[in-house]
Amino acid sequence: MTRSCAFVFLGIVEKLIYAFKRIVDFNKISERRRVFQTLCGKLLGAPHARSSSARELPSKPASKTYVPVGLAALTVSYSILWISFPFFLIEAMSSLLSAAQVSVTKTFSSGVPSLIVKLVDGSSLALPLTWQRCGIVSITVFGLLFLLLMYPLQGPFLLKVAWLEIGILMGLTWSLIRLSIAVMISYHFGASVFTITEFLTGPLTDIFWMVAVWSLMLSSLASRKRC
Amino acid sequence: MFDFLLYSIFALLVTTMSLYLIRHYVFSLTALYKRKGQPLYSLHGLSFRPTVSVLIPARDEEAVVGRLLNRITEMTYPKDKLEVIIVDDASKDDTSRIADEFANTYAYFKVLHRGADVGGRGKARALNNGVKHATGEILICFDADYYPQVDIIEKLTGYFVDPEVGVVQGRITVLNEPITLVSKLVALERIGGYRVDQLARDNLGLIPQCGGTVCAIRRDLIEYLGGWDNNVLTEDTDLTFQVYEAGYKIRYANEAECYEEAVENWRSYWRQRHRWAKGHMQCFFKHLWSFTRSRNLRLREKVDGLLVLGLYFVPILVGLSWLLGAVIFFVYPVNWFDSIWALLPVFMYGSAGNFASFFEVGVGIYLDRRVRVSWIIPVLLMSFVFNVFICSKALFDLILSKVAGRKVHDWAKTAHVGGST
Repeated sequence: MTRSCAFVFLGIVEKLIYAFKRIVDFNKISERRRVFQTLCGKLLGAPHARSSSARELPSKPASKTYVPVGLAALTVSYSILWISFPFFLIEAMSSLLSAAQVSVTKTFSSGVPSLIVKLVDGSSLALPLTWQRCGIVSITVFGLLFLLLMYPLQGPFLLKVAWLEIGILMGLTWSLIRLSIAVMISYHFGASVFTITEFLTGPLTDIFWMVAVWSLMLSSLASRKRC
Repeated sequence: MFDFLLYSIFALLVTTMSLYLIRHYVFSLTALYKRKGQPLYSLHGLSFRPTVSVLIPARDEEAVVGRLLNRITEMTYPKDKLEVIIVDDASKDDTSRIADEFANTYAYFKVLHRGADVGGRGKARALNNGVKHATGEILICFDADYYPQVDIIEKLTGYFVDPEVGVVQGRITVLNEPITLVSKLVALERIGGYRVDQLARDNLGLIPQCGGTVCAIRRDLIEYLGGWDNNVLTEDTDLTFQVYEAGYKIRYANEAECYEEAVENWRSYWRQRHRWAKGHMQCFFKHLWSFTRSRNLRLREKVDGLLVLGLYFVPILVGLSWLLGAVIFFVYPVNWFDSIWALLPVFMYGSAGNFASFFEVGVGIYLDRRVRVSWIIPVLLMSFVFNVFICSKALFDLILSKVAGRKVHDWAKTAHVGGST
C-alpha cells in the first residue's frame, strides 16, 4: 500500500515537473540571465563582461545609434550647465575668495551674475560672468568634439558618458581655478592686471584639460579594445 | 584702416587654421571608418618579383649600419634579384670597414666609397651616386639606422604591378620609443603621421608623401626626373611633388613596417626639424607654381598638395595668430572679438602640431591598440611650441640665404647611437 502510494506520488511529481518545464524553459532562463548579466557588465564597464558569454551577445549596434544617444546625454548635461553654471561659479568663487580674506559682493542685476571684489589698493573690480568668460564655450566645444569623435569608438557606452561628465567637471573646475587666480593676482597688483592674467589663463590654456581628458579616455578605450 | 587690416589678417589666419583643422578631422575619421583593405604583396594572386636595388647612404654610422646590413641578409626576397649598394659618404669612423666586410661575404652587396672631397654634402648626392651603379628595376632606400621587416621588399614592390605607381612608401615606427621623452614624442608624431595621415591620404586618393626612407621607386622614373635634387634639404618632399607632376602616383603601404632610431634629445630634435622645415619651405617655393598649374593632377590632389607644402608654415601662422590675438585683445577690445577669442581652443585643438594634430595622434594610438603612450599626448603641445621657434628660424634662415644668393645649404646630419635593438 505504501509502495503504491509512493509510486503515485512520484508519478504526480514527475508530471508536475514536466508540466513546469514545458511552461518555463530553464535553458532559456539561464541564457537570458547570462545575456542580461553580460549586458549590465558591459554597460557598467565591469571586467567580467569580457567573459566567454559575451560572445553570445548579438552583434554590437551600429555606431550611428551612439551619436543620437550621446547627443541626448550631452543635451541633458548642457541644459543643466547653461542654467546653473554662472550661478554656481559665482557662489564657489565668492566662497573661495572669502576664505582667502578677500572682500567680495555678489550681484545679479541685469541678468548677468557679477562679482565685485575690493582690492588691496582700495579700488573695486567688477567681474561680470558672461558666457564667454565663464568657460562654457570651451566646455561646449569639448562636448561636441567628444560626441562626434569619441562616442562612435568601440567601448562601453556608460564609460563614455562617465568620461564626458569627467571632462565637463574638469572644465568647470578649470574655469573656477583660472578666474580665481586672475582675481587674486588683481587683488594684489591692481585692476589693470586682470586683463593680462585673464588673457594668459584664458581659452588658450583650455586645450590642456581638453586634450588630457580625451587622452585618458582613449587610453581606457584602447585597453578594453586590446583585451 | 589699420584696425581693418589687423582684423583681416586675423580672419585669414583663423581661416587657414580651420582648413588644417578640417583636414585633420577628415583624415582621422577616414582612418577610423574607411577601412579600405590595402592590397597585399601578392596582388590578385600574382607573384611580381622585379629586380631590386637597395640603396643605403651612410655617413659615420658604425653604431647602426651593421644591424641593418645583417637584417638585409635575413630578408626573404630572392637573393638573385636583390642588390645592396652601401654608399659610404666620406665616413670618418668604421662604417666603411663594416660595409666592406659584408661586401666580401655576400656577393649581392656593393660598397661605394665617396672621398672627403665629394662626400658628406647631403643625402641626395649620396643617393644619386648610388643610382648610377644600381641595376635593379626598383630602388629601395633605407637610412642606416633603420630595421626593416624581413618581407618588406615583397610588400613594397607588390604595388608596382600598377604601371601608374611610381613610388611606394612604407610605415616608419620608432624603435627606441621608451628611452626619453623626446623619443616618445617623436613616436607619437610618427603614429599620427603614418598610421592616420598617410593611410587616409592613400585611401582618399590624395597625395601620400614619400618619406625619403623605407620607400621604393622605379629606377627609370628617378632617372627621368634627373635624380634627387642636390640643393633641396628635404629631397623626399621634393621627389613627392616631382613624381606627381610627372603623372605618376605614390602609394602608402601600411603593412610594410620599418623601425627607426628616433632622436633622443632636444638638440638633435631641433637640428633635424630645422632641416626638415627649411627643406619643406624650399619645396614650397620650388613647386608652388608648377604644382598648381600641373595638368596631371585632380583638384583634390592639388588642394591636398598645397596643404602639404604649407605644413611647416602652420606653426608660424599659429604663433602669429596668438600674437595678433593678444594685440587685438589688449589694444582694440571689441565685443564680438570675445566670441572668436573664446573659440580659439577649437582651432588650437585641431590645427596645432607639426605633422598631425592631437586627435590624429590619438586615433593612431587607438587603432594601434596602444594604452600608456596616450597619456603623454598633451605633452605634444611642448613640441608644438618648440616647432613654432624651429619653423620661424628656418624661414628666417631661408630668407637670409635667398638674399645672400646662397644655393648650397648646410646638411645637418642626425647622429645615431644604436642603443636599441
